[in-house]
Order: sequence, then structure tokens, then C-alpha cells
Amino acid sequence: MLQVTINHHPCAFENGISILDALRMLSIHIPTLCHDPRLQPYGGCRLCLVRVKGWPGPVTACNTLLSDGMEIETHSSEIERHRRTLLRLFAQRYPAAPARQFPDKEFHDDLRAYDLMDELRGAPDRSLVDDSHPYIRVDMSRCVHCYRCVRICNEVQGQFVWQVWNRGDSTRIRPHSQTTLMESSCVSCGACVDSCPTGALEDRSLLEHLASMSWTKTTCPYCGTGCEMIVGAHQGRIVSIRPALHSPVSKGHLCVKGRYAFDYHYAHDRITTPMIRQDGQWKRVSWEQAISFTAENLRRFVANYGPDSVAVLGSARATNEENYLAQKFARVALGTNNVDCCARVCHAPTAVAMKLMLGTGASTNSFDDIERARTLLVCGANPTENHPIVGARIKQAALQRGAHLIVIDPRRIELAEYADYHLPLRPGTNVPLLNAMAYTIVEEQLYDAAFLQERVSEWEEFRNFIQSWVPEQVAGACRVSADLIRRAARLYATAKPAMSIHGLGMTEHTQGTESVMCLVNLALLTGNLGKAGTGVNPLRGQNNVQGSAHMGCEPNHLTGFVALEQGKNLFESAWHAPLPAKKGLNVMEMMDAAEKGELKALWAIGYDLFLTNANSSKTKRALQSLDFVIVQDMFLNETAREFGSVFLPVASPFEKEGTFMNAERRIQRVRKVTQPLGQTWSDWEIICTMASAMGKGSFFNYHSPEEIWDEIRSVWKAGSGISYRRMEQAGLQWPCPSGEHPGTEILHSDTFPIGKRAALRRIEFNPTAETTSQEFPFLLITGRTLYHFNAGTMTGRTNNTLLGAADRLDIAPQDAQRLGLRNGQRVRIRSRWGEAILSAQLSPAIAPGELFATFQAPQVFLNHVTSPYRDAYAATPEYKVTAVAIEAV
Amino acid sequence: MSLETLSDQLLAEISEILAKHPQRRPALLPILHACQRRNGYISPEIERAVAELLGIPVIDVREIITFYTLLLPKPVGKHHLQFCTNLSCHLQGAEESVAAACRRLGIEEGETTADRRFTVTTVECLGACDMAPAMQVNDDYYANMTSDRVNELLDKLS
Amino acid sequence: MEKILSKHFFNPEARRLSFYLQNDGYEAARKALTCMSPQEIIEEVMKSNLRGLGGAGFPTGRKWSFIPKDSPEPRYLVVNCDESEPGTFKDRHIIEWTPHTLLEGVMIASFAIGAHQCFVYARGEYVRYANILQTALEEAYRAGFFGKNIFGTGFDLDVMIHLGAGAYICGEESALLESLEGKKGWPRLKPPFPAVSGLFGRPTIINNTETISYVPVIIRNGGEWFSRLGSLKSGGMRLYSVSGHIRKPGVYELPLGTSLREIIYTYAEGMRNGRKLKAVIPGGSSTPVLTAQEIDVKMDFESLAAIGSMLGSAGVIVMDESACLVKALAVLGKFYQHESCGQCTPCREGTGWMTRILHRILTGRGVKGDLENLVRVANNIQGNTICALGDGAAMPMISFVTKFREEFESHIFHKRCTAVR
Repeated sequence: MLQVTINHHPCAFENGISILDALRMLSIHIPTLCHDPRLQPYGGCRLCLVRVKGWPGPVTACNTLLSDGMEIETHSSEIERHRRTLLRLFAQRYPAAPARQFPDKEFHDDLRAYDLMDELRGAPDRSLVDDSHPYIRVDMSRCVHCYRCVRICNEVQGQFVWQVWNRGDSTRIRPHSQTTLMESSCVSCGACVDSCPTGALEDRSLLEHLASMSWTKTTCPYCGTGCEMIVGAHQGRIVSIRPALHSPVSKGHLCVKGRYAFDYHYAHDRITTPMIRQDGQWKRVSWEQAISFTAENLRRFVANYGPDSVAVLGSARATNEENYLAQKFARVALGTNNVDCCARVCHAPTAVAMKLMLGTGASTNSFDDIERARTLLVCGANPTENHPIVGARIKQAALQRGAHLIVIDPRRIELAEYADYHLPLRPGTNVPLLNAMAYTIVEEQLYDAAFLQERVSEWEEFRNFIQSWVPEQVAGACRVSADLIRRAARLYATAKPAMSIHGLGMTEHTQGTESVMCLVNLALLTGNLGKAGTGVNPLRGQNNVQGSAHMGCEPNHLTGFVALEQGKNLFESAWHAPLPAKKGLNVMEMMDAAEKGELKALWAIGYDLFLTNANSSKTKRALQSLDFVIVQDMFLNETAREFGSVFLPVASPFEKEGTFMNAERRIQRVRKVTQPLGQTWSDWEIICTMASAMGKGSFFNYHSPEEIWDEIRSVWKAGSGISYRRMEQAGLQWPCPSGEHPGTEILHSDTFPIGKRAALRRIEFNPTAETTSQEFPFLLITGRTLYHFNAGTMTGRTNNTLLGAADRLDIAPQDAQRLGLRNGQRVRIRSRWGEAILSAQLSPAIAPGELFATFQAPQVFLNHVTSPYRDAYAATPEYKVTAVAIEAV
Repeated sequence: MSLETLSDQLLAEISEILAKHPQRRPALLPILHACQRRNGYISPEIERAVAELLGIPVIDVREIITFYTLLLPKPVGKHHLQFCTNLSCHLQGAEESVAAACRRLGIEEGETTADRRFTVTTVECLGACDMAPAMQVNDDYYANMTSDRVNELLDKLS
Repeated sequence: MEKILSKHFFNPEARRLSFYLQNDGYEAARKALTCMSPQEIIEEVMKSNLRGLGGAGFPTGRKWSFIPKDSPEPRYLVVNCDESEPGTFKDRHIIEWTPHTLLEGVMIASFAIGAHQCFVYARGEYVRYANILQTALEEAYRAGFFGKNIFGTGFDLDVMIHLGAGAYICGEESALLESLEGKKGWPRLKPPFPAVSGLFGRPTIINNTETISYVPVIIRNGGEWFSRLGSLKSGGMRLYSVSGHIRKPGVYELPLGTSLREIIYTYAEGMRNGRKLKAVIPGGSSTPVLTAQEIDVKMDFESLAAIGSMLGSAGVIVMDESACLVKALAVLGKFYQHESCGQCTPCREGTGWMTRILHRILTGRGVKGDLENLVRVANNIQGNTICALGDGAAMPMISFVTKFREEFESHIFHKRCTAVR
């Protein structure tokens, strides 16, 4: 501890903090302009100068470390005079109007505190205003040159948009485009706006709503990163979202989706009353009518065709509590294990592979390990677009810390620019590539012998097996040189700790589960498991996709990913109800059963399966065959539009309480910001009411999400220590088996849930049946982009549409030239399974002979094109490889 | 390819500079000097070519040019008359010399003659206070540039 | 007294290696590299009391001793030849007339700190003078004085001459390093100091051209010999640049502690046209101005500090009664405004503000309170900025207004200039 004196009061502090940190801990306010806790101390504004006894001149508090014995004075008349003079210099060039209009800005606070409001002499200057961006307004006549925008763009987002021009008092900050922000490479994360102390950069949504607002902290409803945000509401309407500064995941940063794309709440086509389809027409009804009509039908199907004639789909968008209820409803109220969720179509292979091999089907490590790893292996993921906060952290690790980066991806994604090695493999060849890396590690004896000895089994068998996976022999098939494969393997095996991060480019293949197993093999071989900066880490796609499956929306698993037979007794006694013994159907099998007439009714909660499941013609046949389709959503999605019998309108995550589970097993609170719009209900309320209408109310007698959560904690030991009260401060990572347990950042440190050792798997390569031919010469990869989220339900109803199109077909310039295609030209894309029309976009990131398209626009309906092939273990569709032909429309 | 903007000679000079610098970014100023020596100023095309050559964003090059006064984003006359007007030269009547040059050439300070032969600018201290009033014409220093001597020099250069 | 650096000024022959060698050239370097350990060299330089002659006056030997010893990490010597302080032109004379002296100093200093790479950063305007240095360097390379295995000792040293591009701030050592790295010259926060983390993050010693040029004679004749040439704490000789209203402007090499009066009247031959001396800036434009009554001061670090000024770069600017000091100060104000890098507030905002006030006063629009404002802003800059440029801008403001207040007030209240035309 350091003993210091601050303003004549003795105090003690931990070592390693700055003078400013100490002052803030004591709530001693000194003005600062250039300081932002997210950034390296800068010491440029000079407002935080303080006196330290014995030092020749005043020192900047922000970048001077506290040291023992310091005698600090913060508000001597000399220092205060200095601060006032400095602020006065600014005032001469600063316009008065905004200072009065936005009293809450840091800088305006300081102006008032130093009594300078009457000395504001600057004039507004239209030439310094940039109105081009749909979310951000720029008015550099209010710039005070703290350079926070420049630094946060560089140090946190890594986008380098803001540039400093000229020098001295002619210094100007401009976007690098030299024109407008809209024309720059800005990714609209809004970090610069959040940091700006004056409002030179400001959210447009705030300019329109000046009145006082209430702010609520919650968890982002978009991807599985789990960023925390504070949501500002004015008169019951959400008007602004800002990053939560101390979030363990996002650390005060958000992306364009979380930060700005919230207007879908108020889209004109949001459904706010329940509806029943009568004679082909949707008819608005009361909740009583909707519930009794639905319950009656469900009862009828169960009575006439048995409980397995009905299925329930939980939602990766809903809370843990709601997913828990959805599966409990299926098992207890209906009596079937036919319950699944959309994890099936994304990371189910990861869960299966990691559960089988390591005993836990979730990330072994945490996002904080990105900063601890010496090497990052990113496979089949495009984090800077799809998990932008993770992407930014990886980018910073490579840029600032010099971490090694290996990117395995067919496309030259943004991270490839910062990578030591980019392995642009042919789509569908993950298994041979990763096996060849394993070969290199074995052949060159780069494995961790001690780890193999202690923690790994079947090493000898694996060593023999891997002999046939010589890089030189797979190089052709993978389209990656043997040298590059070997170099990547060496780096991963030797520059330790090394951490792998993977996405759907690994899983959405017929060998999805096997690909992840190969990745786990690499971690086992090199001992990159159970330690800081290591592990196998899936980036989960949706806010609660990890939670929805984990809560038991899984035909073979109960809450906590417990196998049916294993958990039967525990759950029967907890729920006071018998459980169905028969294995349930997963969503793909549900489609098969529907087509065969075995499945009659389906309740789809927050899941537009018609639009998003692969091979739409098959999905259509299946859904058409169903007698009764309940759709629960915010919008009349494609499934509802075509096949819905009942529509139950729901509250958004900003309109309810609950929890989400992010990709690193962290459970975080979701809090109600505004009342549910119109007559929308939370999913949990609907499920409970439905159960009650079916005479099962006693099993679903809950009054709050917290009550549901406490029941979950009672059946799921690894989550039992995670209470709402504890989550008030910050989310916790399971396993967290007791109220005192701090949560688990890193799994498998000493042992695996399956024992001391994990076995290496010998994975053969079974290529997909989906191959190119003369008729279908291109391989199509589908995916998403920065500005749009999944099916576009939310982002498609916001100004994100102005920032990026959702109907894009990326094509290599060589191919475009050969086919005579221009940028923006409408192109028909045709596979063995169907066709769709998109806009061509020439992109050097895509390899010749390959295409990349987004599935995010309902009007495009890209899944007409994708194939019916599925992963052998998890039944996940092969979204990433489809042979297609293209032609100009 | 914007590299075509650079002449072979210049490219040769640049490769020589690059060979001397183990890291690329530190070669930026020397390369910009070389470009300006050959081209007279740093055109947007050159900016792009240099950025490409060094693998840095073109805007980084622009940022540097806006910071350093000797790097010229616009062309100047064949003879670039740079009058020091800092203290020692001011004390020796630098302003009159500038005025004399402008009068003689029929331009204002900061301008270039229509025939693109002369540009007159004022600059900060040249480190030639012993030569006050001092001026620099392109790379060469000139001492005691009183109005008369300015006119004599312009006679010679015209 | 015998000249050291200026002995052969204005003799073009002296630039040649052959001439230099005939005059014991590179003998000091040979002695240093073959007969002395780095530690002995540093001790000798410490004994000499040689101090940083760029302006800061930091003891050179001590600076060298900060370089981490016994570390395999590469380190650099950087010679600051970005001479841009108004009133200063001595470094230009060194590289123009005695480039080998600098190069020999570079060799000794590099050996002392264990550097195998030296950068000489010359201001961009000095392109002709840098060429002279380059020619000398190439000659020395050819003669085996640079490159590999110098004097057969196994010591390797390469020197690169780098041109700035027009920014006074790059004379500030950390801004200079940024510029050498190809960035704009924004000074770095200190600590860490360059001796720990300098060029490319490596330990780096930055010395002024003149400082390094005095190293050979110190090694040749001994540190004590050199220190006896000057006053007690500031050892040896130095080059005084004298300009302004003076009969014989130029560079004068004199012992530290020579009186300003002597420099002006004896060496520079006094005022012109019988004019009366009014004011003298003793050490480059950033140092506080002196009145005619103060010129008996000894020109060394301590004596000038004692009367509230500084020796700085020893650039003496002499102003006679015909000088309008409001105009003179406005000229300096404009200079600092033009050269402020823009990184920290007091300097970026303050220099522009001060210049605007001075311009107002000069154009007859001065008002009561202007001088107080000027001094307040200057005080606000001084000591409160990231680098010393702010101090350099503030000190002339405060000293001019304090010492010549009447002249400023005459402009403000009587709209009249008191300079004698």
C-alpha cells in the first residue's frame, strides 16, 4: 500500500494507480478533457494538473503514477487559476448555444463550474458540420482537441478513421476520407461519440430528444458476445444506447448493431395484438381468445395423435428463464421431448464435439484470454463483422500487443490483414487442413509431451492415424500450400499460450462436428487447454443461443446439458411430474416428421425457421404439412406469414427482465427499460398462461423471471451460485456451484468433467456430396455482415439499411469480369435446390470460383438455394457449401 | 497502378532509400523529399504511390504533409523565394525585402507568377541570422537580401 | 584563446578529410576506441563539465551514463542538428566548415554508449549543409573510419543523415524521434526518457551537434583541461551566435562565462550607426530578454539563471533603440503559434491567443487589461505543457512585457510607438 497525503488528508492506496485514479476513488473532482478510462493516459489537455510537493512543476494527474509519500494538492488557488485560464482559452473559440443546450456534457459542466458560460465567443461554422451519417452528427466547431475520438478509434476499435491535420491552433480533426464520415471506413461503433466530451460528435437520436432521460443497464440483444449497455428512454421510448463502461465483456465498447440499431421497436409493422388466422386472413383477437384457441388445439393434437405429434422451438433471442419454461412446457405440459432451438442450425456441432471430447459443450476460456494469448487461431469466423467487440479485441491484440494471429477462412476477411498467416482454404476442407496441422505438430515433435502424458489418452493410436495426413498431400484439396499449413501449425504449437476462436465456418458443414473435434485435437496435442490464453472457443451467434440449448431446448438434454436418461430422476422430483422417456426430435427431424405427417403442430418461439433453415423448399413442404403453427415473435415473420395459425406478439428484451448466457458461459442480467409496447407479453408470461389454460398451471406458477431463475439454479448445480443479487454487479460464468464461488473463467484446469484425460479423436474426412460441376461451377458460402443481424428482422427495420445492403453477393473481380458483371448488377444464383436474386459486389476478399452471400433479406430468401445436407452428428445444415451457377438477371 | 506515377529514376532513388531503412515507415520523410526534389511538389498521385509503396494508408501520408511545412501539396514556381521574417531578419528589414520582391514580380506574398517562374513566401527562422535579412531560393541560402540585393538577384534569375 | 571548433571556419579546405587528418583528425577517436573503455570516456566527459549546448544544458556525461549497461538491446545515438531556435546558427557553421569534427565526436560518443547506429537529424532547410556533411561522411567511410571493425577494434558504426521537413518542434528530442520514425513531430510524454525508451523504443541518447563536436578535444586534451577553459560549473568553450543590430554578426567561440558586454562590444564590434542598445535576447528567442543595463552578465548557465534568463542555445539577438519591441514580440508570437504542434492545450490555444492580442496592440486596438491577459496566459503555458516549446513561447512574453512595459503601454494607451527611427 502507498501512503500519501491528498489535500492534507492522509490516505492509502494500492500500488500501480495514477494520481487521477486515486482522486476519483476519493470522489475528488478535477476537470479532465482528454482522459477516458478506456484509453492510454494522454496528458494533453493539462486540466488535471496538480501540485505534488517537492516536484519542480505541476504534474498531470492522469499519467503520473501515485508513489509512496506523495503530498498532493488538487485545488490550490494557483492550480484553479490555471484551470480557469485554460478553459477560458477554449471558451474564446467555443460556441455558446450548445453549451446551454446540452448542459450534461463533461466540457459544459466544466465551463459552468469555472463560471465561463458568459465568455463563450465562438461562432457556429457550417463548414465544420458533417450531416452525412445516419446515426452520428459531426460539428467540429465544438472540437476541443482532446483527441479522444482519434484515440478511441485507434486504441479500442482499431479503425483509424479520425485523422489529425495541420498543427498548432490550425489543427483539425477530419475523417480520413477527407470528405464525410459516411464516406470514410467508419464502422459506426459510436465509440468516438461516446467519448467526445463536448458533443462535437453526437448521436442523432439524442439531438432529437433533448429532454431528461432515464438510463437502464442491460445486456445487448444481438450477438452472443454479451456486451452490456445502458439504454436511455424518454417518455417510455428508447432514444439512445451507450456502452456500459465497466462491462467485463465489452469494456465500454459496442458495435453499430447494439449501439444504434434499436428503432425496430417502433417499426410500423411490429405486431402488438395477438392474431388468429381465419379463412386465410389474420384477425386480431384478445389474449384470452388467442390462448384458449391455442391451448384447445394443442390439447386436441396431444389427445388425438399423442404428445409426440407436437413440438416446441425455444428461442435464442429469449431469456434463459423463458427457454427453461419452453422445454419444461414441452416435457411437462405436453409430455414430449420434441423441443429444440436454433442452436441446431449453428453451433450444435461445437456443443456435441466439445461435450464428447472434453465433457462440456461450451467455450473453455473467456474473452479476457484474448489479451492473454500469444497466438490467436481464428477459424471459420469473421469477428470484426459478426462479433465486432471480440473482433476489435483480437485486432488490438495483434496491432498493439503484437500477438500472433492465424486466420483460417476461405475469404480474406479483415482480420487476415493483421494475421501472420492466412490460410484461404477451399470451403468444406476444414478436416484435412486441421489434420495436416496435427500431422505437422506430431511429425516435428511440437506437441506438449507432459500434457499428453498427464491429460490425454489414445495418443499412440492418434500418432499412427495422423501419419497419413501429410500436408503436401492435402495441400491441393485444401488449396493451401503445405508450407503455409506447416508454418501455421508451428506457430500455434510453439508461440504459446495459443487460443482458438471459431465460428460457423467450422460447424455448418456435413463434417461440422468432426471439424470441431479436429480443432480440439490441436488443443490437446499442444497443451493449449485449461490455461490462461488457450482453449477452444466458439463465438456464439445470438445473444442467448448458448443459453437456450443449455436451458434444455434440446431433444436429448435437460437443463444444464444433462442427458435425458441421466437427469430423469432429478427433474421428475424437482418438477413433480413424470418425464417422457422417448428421445425427442431435433428441428431438422421435426421437418422430416412433419413432411411424413407424423408431426401435427409446432410452436415456434422467436425463430423464423422458414426463412433461416437451409433448403427452403424442404422447409416449405414440411411446414405446409403441419396442421397447426404457433408463431411467437415481434414481427409477422416469414414462417408466420406463410404458415402461421396463431400469432402471439412478444415484448422485446428491452421490455422485460431475465438473463442471457453469452459465448463465454457468462450469465448476465436483462433489465426492463420500457413497458412492453401495446399488448405484447413476455415469452415467459405467454408460456405460463398457456400452461394454465391447458390445466398445467400448477407446474408453471411463477410471478417473476427471478423466481424461474431460482428454480433453474435448483436443478442446475453449475449455475446454483449465480443469483440475481450477485448479478447486479456483473454477470458470472458457470460453473459457479455456490453463492461464494467466483465463477469459472477457464475450464478443465486440472481435470475434465469426463475424467482426468481427454481422448484424441481420429477423424477421417468424408467430403460433402455438394460439389461443383460444369452446370454449377461456383461454391457459395453464406453468412452475415457487419450491419445486419441474422434474418434481418431487427436491423432491416433500422437505419442500418442505409449503412450496408443485406442482399449482397460477393464475387471475385476476375470472375465478374469473365461473366461481364458490374458492381450492383442483379444476379440470379441457381443451385440444384433452388434460386435467388442478389446484387453483385466485386470483392477481392473472395477467391475466384467462390461466392459469398448474405441470408439477411427476406426478399432474397437465400435458403431457397442451400442444400438439404446435414452434419452427421448434430444434423446442422451445410450452409457454407453450395454448388451454384450465376447469371445476370 | 499508381506506382507508375513515379519515374524510373525516382523509383531507383526510393529503392535506395528503402534499402537503407530496415523499417519502412521511417523512410517516409526521405522518400517524400526525394519525390519533391524530382517533381517540385507532392501531388495526390505521388501521395498514393508512396502510400502504396510503404504499405500505409494514403491519408497517413497526407497527415504528414499537412504537418511539415517544407512538404508542398501544391506546385511552386521554378524559383521559390523564401524570405525569413523572424526576429533577426525582421530587425534588418526583411519586410521591405519581401515587399520589394512582390512589387517587382507583381504578386502577393504566397503567390506564384503567372509564368510559374517565381513564388514568394515568408518563412520562419532559417538558421541564418548572421546573413540577415536571409532568404532561401530552392535549396540555396542568400545573405544580406536587402531590397536592392533582391532586385539584383531577380535580375540575374529573370 | 585558441579556437577549437571555429579554428578553420571559412576555410573550405578544412572540410576535407586530408586536411582534418593533418590536424590530428580522428586521433581522439582512435585513442578512445583503442585505449579507453566506454566507462573511461564517460568519466572524462563528466570531468569536462560539458553540458548540452542545444539549450537545456544537461551534463553530457551524466546523460550518457543513463544508457542501460550490459544489455544486449541495440541503442542509438541521435545528433540533433535541427537547429531552428531563432537567433541560432552555430550548428550550421559546424557542419559547413568542420564536419569531420562532428563525425569524430559521433564515433567517440557511439562507442561510449555502445551504439552501432547513429542518426544525424538536420533541419530540412539545411539541405546544402547536410550535403557537405554527407560528403565528409562518405569520405570517412571510404577511409575506414565508419562501417565495420573501426581501427581494428571490432567496433562497428553506421551513420545516417536524415533531413527534417520544416517543423521547429522536431528540435525537441522526443518529437525528433517521432519524426525519425516517419511520424509527425508530436513530443512524447516523459517518462520514459529516451535513454530508456527512445528511437523505435530502444535506449537512445540525443545530443546537440555542438555538444558532440566538443567531444574529440575533450578526449584529446582531457576533461579537466576543457573544464578549466570555462566557468566553474559549465565547462569549456562554446559557440555564441550573434545577430541583430550589431556591426559584425556571426559565430564567436569563447569560453563560457565571457560577459555579454564583451561579446557585443569587443567581438561583434558593437552597435551600428551609433545607435543605443535597447534589449538583448541572450540565448535564442525562447530565453527571457535582457535590458541594456543587464549586459554585464557572464554568459554561462548559472549567471544567466541568476538574473532570470537562460543561456539556452547561446543565440544572442541584439536590438537597438530603433527596434519596436511590440513588433519584435509579435514576430516571436507568430513564430510560436506557427510552430506549436497542437498536441496539448496551453500551447495550442495559448500561442494563438497571445499572438492575437499582440496583433491588436500593434495595430492600435489594444485595450486596458491586454498586458495582464498576455502575462496570465503566458504564465498558464509556462511549466504546464508536455514539452518545452510552451515555455519557449511564454518566457519572451513575460520578460518583454515586464521589462519594457512602458513601450507596450504607449502602444495601448497612446497608440504610439516609442522606437527611435
